[in-house]
Amino acid sequence: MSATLAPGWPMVGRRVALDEALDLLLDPARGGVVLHGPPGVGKTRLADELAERAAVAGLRVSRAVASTTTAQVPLGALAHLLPPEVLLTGRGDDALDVVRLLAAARQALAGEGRHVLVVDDAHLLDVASLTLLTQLVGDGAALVATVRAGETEPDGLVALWRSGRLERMELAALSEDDVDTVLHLALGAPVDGWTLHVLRTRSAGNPLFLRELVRAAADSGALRPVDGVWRLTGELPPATRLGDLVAHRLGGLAPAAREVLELLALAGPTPLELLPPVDPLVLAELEESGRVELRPGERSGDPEVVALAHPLIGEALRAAVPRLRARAALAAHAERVERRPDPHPEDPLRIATWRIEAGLPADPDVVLRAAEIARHAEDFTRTEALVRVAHTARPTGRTGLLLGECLYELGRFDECERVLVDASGITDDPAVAAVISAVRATNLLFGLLRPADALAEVHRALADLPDEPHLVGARDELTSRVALLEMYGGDPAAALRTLAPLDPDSFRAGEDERLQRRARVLWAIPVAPALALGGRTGEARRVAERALVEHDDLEEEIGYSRSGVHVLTLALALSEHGDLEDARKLASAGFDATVAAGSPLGQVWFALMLGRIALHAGTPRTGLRWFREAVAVATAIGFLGPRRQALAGEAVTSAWLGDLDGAAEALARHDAEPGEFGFMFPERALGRAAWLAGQGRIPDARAALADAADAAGRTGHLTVRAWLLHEMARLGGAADVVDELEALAATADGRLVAARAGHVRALVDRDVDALTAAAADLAGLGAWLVAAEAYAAAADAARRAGDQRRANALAGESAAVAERCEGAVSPLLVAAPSVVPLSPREREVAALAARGTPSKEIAERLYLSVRTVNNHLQNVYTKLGVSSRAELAAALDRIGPG
Amino acid sequence: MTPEQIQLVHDTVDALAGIDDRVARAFYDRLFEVAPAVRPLFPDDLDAQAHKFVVTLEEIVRSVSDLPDFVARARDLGARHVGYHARASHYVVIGDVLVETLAQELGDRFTSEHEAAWRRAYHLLAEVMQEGADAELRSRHVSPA
Repeated sequence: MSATLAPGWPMVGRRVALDEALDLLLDPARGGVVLHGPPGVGKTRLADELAERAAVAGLRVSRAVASTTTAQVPLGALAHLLPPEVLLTGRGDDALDVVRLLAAARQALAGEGRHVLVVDDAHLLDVASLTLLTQLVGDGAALVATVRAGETEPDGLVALWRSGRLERMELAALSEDDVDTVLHLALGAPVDGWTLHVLRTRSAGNPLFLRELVRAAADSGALRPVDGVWRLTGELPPATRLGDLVAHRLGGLAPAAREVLELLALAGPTPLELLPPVDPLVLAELEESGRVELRPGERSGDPEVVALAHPLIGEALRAAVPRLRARAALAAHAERVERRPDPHPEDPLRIATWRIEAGLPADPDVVLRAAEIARHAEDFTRTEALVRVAHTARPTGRTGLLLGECLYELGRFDECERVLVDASGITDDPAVAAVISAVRATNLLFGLLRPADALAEVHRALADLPDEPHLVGARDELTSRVALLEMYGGDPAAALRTLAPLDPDSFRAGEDERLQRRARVLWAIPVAPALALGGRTGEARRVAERALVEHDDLEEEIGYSRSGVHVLTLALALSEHGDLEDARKLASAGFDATVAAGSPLGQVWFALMLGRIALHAGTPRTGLRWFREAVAVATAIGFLGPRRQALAGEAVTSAWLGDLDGAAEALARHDAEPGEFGFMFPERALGRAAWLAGQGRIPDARAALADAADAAGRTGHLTVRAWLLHEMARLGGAADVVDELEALAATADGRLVAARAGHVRALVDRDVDALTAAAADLAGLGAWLVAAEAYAAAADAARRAGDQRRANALAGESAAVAERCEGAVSPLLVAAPSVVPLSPREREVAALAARGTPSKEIAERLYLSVRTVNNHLQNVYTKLGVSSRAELAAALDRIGPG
Repeated sequence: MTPEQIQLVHDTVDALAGIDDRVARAFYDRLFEVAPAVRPLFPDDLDAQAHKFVVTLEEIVRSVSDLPDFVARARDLGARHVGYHARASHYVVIGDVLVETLAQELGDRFTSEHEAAWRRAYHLLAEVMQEGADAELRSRHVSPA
């Protein structure tokens, strides 16, 4: 029996979990496992054992440890696994390059056979690392990630285990048997019952807590062997929390030992020869007391590294170390690593990180590369921190541009404008200057809500661009940007005119197919919605579909990182064509994707689109929900341009639901919106018109719609104009708008504009058949509210023509369709004739007849004559507008009981 | 295990003298009934196996007061089970059946204190055996036969 404690304690109580986790790694259909649990529960230990078993099973295993240090730089935790060229400096600091390098990294890591990536403390991974790991899992790699309970789990990881690709295993506290066994084995002799009870209770079955308690008690002599049995004969340390206990045990360290531990806490695992000069006995003592351990180097062949035995030790040290001492330690460490004879590829990046931490200037090339990798991962907070370092050290047009892009994405629009103005003054590269102008214009339009200044900026950039062959690509891209500003500034017609000279199948960017695709995608972003709104929905659809495919192939940064913009356009094209259900499904999937991707900007756009589709459908409750969602998200992220669109939608839906106060409030907020934002502006008149109509001010409502329809006509909003004219017709202005609407229907390719025109023509003619056909058309598109109104108008026309039975049947149809409209209050539905109620006796007779009971039997049951029964039935048929018992059942369902 | 528990398992081993083959058969019958999946882990000839089982169990349990000896025996036993693809869940079910069998066969001579002591002892044994099996796997991997 030995009185000293072995440094490594056995792993106990995790055998079943180990087997199950290994099964997951060996199953090619699964992507691995997330080991979740509180600090000290043994996640890392299990992950290490798992890695070993996986290696034994013939799988390729790589290890990585995330920490607050690695999180400072993109791919920090994975740097040692990447091909050197991803990290090396001085190679074309162009975003395009980063994309290719990351693709190369992904390929290198995928390799042959299944690759198991063991990532410790994955909750500390930076976004770029997480993105790469997610891609690798998609490529067939397996991930073993440990995540500390109580920490925010990264979205990417959550998405993986929610999707079922990864299993999530919760590591629980050790059982009493486990605690007994581990103590028995670690101490080399039995433990008496009371000691066992105290240790188990105080540690709550947490293995690290248990170990720290035992070490502290053994150090103080409170725990010692008596007659071959370990007994507690004194007090345990008072700490009741693991972190406190770890900090408590660090209290009595000698300065030399503490210096080593602090460096490991600040800089991460370090090879022996790079530690500050230290007596080997100090290290041995630290190992023996469970503060540090030797681990294999990151790559095979690397020397072993000294690492803290647990992250909690690092946390306790970092919390206590004075800042100036930390800076001095990191500065000295950076210098030692810089001088090492066999530098590693990731050294420059890590040295830069330490120097930044130490408040020293860092290699701007290295930092800029890191910033670009972070930018590619859309980790804008990290990008900003890094690019600021590079920009301060050596401001260039490129650093200013990158900083400006971040600030725009982070919603700091004023700052973005200042930085970009400065950046355009620094650069002498016309291609970079062109991109700076493009980003600045985007910020002016969407951020600062100054559309005129945005357009002026791009036009100026076009004028300044030298007329040289290598810049024609940049010119085309700027031209597409002008069109984008026009489209989103509220003038789709101008956008189409601007882009007319460009041929999407032969851009001047060059022969390079990739550059052609890139130019085409940029072109499609304004063209597709402009076509859809111009009533050329088929073309719009083709352009957007192609752009979607080509954008995903592009795999590079073009300033519209999210291919979701094409999905949005596709939904617009479908809705303007009249495929409302398809449009809704697509937009709904798009919304879910933006939520999953954590893209609030995308959420605003898709919520707006879904609200708008609900307006077409005439489902105001659904619409109101989406518009409110759009308002909330837009407000939260300061994306104020599109918010006015959502507020107008809120006014329409509130008015339709009879909530005129709500509508008035939404309109007041709409009118108070700052700046200008013209995107689909004519539609916003629908809000005021609905509120006016709700108040009975029909002529005012029509006038507001007429003005907006004129504006829509001037700006190429053809489908919007048709909608506005249709609204005027709903408010009794059918005769005034019918010719215009029919002219639009002759131009537009969709079914929706045609159905609107058909409806209005039939309203003017008061033709029962035409109204019925129009109603069926509209219902076929899923435009329920206007369909219900058309049936109601048809019923009215039938009654005027003296055909009461048909009138009642049509009124029944109207009521049935109106049920889909979520309680919409409509002026035209109010005007519809109400269904004549059945008398109690008629209802009795009808109910029996609908169940197929013959008249004779009904007569017997109700003590009536057969003739009386038939009379009642005839009245019922007339009132309900049906002519057979088969139809009777459906009609009775429609009107409901009572 | 407390020293008292070590004494309790020794007492049980004493009590098994003379009836050990019967207990071993009862153990296997119960085990294969509860968990037919573990049958392939054991040889076809159960009579010889039953005898071996009892001898091994007695030896190991008696060694528990000398921990290094116990650990060496248990690791070795675990290493010999590698070829049978024993899983952690098998160890769990075997432990449960062992304790149930002892309770059944020994009746009043197997108290709840005995049971707790046996559960501890088996837990210790199973953990060390599996550790031995791991070490065996690792050594095979490093120097493939």
